[in-house]
Amino acid sequence: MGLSIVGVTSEGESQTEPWVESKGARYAYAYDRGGKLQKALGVSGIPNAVLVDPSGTILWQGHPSSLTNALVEEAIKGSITTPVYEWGGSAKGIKKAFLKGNFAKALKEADKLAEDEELGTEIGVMLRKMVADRVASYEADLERGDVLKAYDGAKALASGIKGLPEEERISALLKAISKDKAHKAALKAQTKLIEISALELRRKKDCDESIKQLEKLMKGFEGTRTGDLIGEVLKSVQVKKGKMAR
Amino acid sequence: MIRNLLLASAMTLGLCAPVLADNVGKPLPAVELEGLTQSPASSFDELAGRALLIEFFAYW
Repeated sequence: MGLSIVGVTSEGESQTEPWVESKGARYAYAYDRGGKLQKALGVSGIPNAVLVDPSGTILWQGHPSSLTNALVEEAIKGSITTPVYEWGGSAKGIKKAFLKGNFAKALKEADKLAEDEELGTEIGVMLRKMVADRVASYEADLERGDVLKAYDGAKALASGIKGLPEEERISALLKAISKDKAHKAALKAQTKLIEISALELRRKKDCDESIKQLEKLMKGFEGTRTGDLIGEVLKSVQVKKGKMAR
Repeated sequence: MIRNLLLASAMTLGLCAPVLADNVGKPLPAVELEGLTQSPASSFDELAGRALLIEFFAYW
């Protein structure tokens, strides 16, 4: 019906697997190691659910009991009728190229399939929208100052869209980052910020060291998007340190 | 790898910053989820192009 439901847990397999078995739960589930997705979505309590439309945009988030049929119907609009995992037979090659991130090849094959089968047309529409959405989102990232996000995304997409109309836009975006002094500095700082954020904070001393590094990194970025990102991490480290101080 | 769904990649900055604002209208963060089980799809990439409901749960 166009909707996939997946349970996601940040708990370990050793405790989750027996639980799933004992409950006889049949639904699909997956592991969110370290609770990364939960953190990124600001999930502080369970249960919590997120409804995503076919283009990957969040439509709704909240307690599962407050999810309405109308919202689900809205989300399903535009879903492909044949899911990727059912692309067999003549669509097998498209699936293979798509899963490798080779949109150009997948599209070429989809257009060929479209001559004989409706599925080819449907896949073509889906892939073109995915590429267009993705390019637009990286351009928006750069516009906002999320240079690392834009750069990582564009780099990963670039090789898979050779010959497509969006190729030029992605090249232009990567070029803009590599030519612009401010973008380059932001890219470097945001990469460093990821490194600092990944450090384990076990003791107060670790927090102090992290705060020192973040304050150093902040220099020159005050009032910019990079500065805001550093500020957010700094704040969370300070909160963590405060909890340790007791 | 397909990048619009839940994708594996270098961590993006969204991950280290707690999200306090409303997430509606934003793309689902690119985070790799592992061990997809009991699904007809063998990876999250294969769920692309359809609506997705993620429900956070815990065994306790």
